[in-house]
Amino acid sequence: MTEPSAPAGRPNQSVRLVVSWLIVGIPLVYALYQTIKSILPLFGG
Amino acid sequence: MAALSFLDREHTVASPGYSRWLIPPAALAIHLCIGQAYATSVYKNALVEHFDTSLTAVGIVFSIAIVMLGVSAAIMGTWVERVGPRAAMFTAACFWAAGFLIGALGIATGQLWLVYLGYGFIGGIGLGIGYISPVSTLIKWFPDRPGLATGMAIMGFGGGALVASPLSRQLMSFYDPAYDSSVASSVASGDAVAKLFLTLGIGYFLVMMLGVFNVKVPPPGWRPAGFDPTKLKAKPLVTTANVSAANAIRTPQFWLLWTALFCNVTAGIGILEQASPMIQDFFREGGTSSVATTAATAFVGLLSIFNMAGRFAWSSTSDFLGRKPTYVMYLGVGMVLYFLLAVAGHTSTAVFVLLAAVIISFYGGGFATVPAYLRDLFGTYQVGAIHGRLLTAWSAAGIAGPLIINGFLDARGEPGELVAADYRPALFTMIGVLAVGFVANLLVRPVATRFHESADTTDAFAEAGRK
Repeated sequence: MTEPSAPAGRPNQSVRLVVSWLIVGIPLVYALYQTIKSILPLFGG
Repeated sequence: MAALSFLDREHTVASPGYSRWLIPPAALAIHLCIGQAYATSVYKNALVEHFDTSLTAVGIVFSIAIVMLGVSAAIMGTWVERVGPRAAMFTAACFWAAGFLIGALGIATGQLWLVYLGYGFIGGIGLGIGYISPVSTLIKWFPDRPGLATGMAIMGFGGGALVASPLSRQLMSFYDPAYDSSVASSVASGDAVAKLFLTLGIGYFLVMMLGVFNVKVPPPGWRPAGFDPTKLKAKPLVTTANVSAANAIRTPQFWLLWTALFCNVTAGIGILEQASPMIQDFFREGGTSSVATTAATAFVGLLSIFNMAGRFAWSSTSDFLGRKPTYVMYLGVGMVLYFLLAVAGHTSTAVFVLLAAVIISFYGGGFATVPAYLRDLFGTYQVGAIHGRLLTAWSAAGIAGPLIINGFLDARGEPGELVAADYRPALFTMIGVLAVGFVANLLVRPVATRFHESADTTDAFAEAGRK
């Protein structure tokens, strides 16, 4: 069975996809921001 | 129990049109939470002061958790394959959250043994089950890009520590206004750490539930649009056959890969373990280091980013390079980088940082690439369970790596007085360790057909998943 796996496959999936990725993406972006801020002294910042 | 019937394997089979791109965030939700295990240093001093005990006594909490990770991943792997990813993720969330809650109770009541039991033992079981729970499912949803899929999830484990460190500092400052995370000597109160554990336990449970509700297994026979499995067969070392977990550990390929992973992790942990004092020691002249303590701490943060990025970048690249050549790079180029670090690392901080960063990216990459390597060799049938057994290499390396580096450094002098030359024996030993892994990887050949499962067995397994 070959299935298209595009988000457009179901209308409500786009919202679910965006929310799911945001829930894991926001903490990762926050972590990267905090870590980069903390490593600036290494480069004299 | 009827209320928990949504966890059953038959309720997790995706209906037509379900987007496979919902699976990576489900996996990330689990790995981002359990990755907190590598951020325990944030509250270590607070626990030492609260329990009026030694760093070693508090460090045991982390050791128990990591040992339980390896043990539970090895023992529970087949169970995870049988019950499916949703039940496994839910179980992991319950154990991980319960670990924090019991740990919080232990801190609040001044009972260190409760922290051992809670965070260490119970939380450690959650770590092991959580680590392997999404791997098999990701590989089945992404047969065309297994390295990319597992790279995304296992990147989350590296990212989990990056998230937990600043978050824990901010929460402890909130619960204990006297605590200033920007001052090295400032220590949070035990009450603040207990509240931190309580908050993390509840928060992580909720985030892990995102994974529980989103994860689904593809229907038997499903494949992504445009994907031709016959092309996989044409690649060397990529099998379309299946090997059970029980048979896999009887093959030389499993133990060769175990050795390659063990060597790669041992070498990487050697640097990670010592990162902060190491950069100061490499640039010490006349008893004083030109690298300030704040910069050394920043260096550890930089390595964490490369550890996380390496997991995603190198594992994704392995889909094009092939798993064996990618491991040739980790171990072969790794040897060259360790040699350069030993002989030229002290010439400038830029050279030192660059070499260490690439080495740590290979360390992370090794973790993320190995599930796809297992899938290539043993098929998808019980790849999660085989991965669980292989993670014992991680536990063993967690003991060997620090032992090697600390053993050599202890023989060379006192901490705070070491210089770059004192690291050379340890670094040259790591080159030897990497060479062993390099040879082991080169010896990997396709698994003999006598270990393959019959089509009837794997079809019955797939059918059981559909019911």
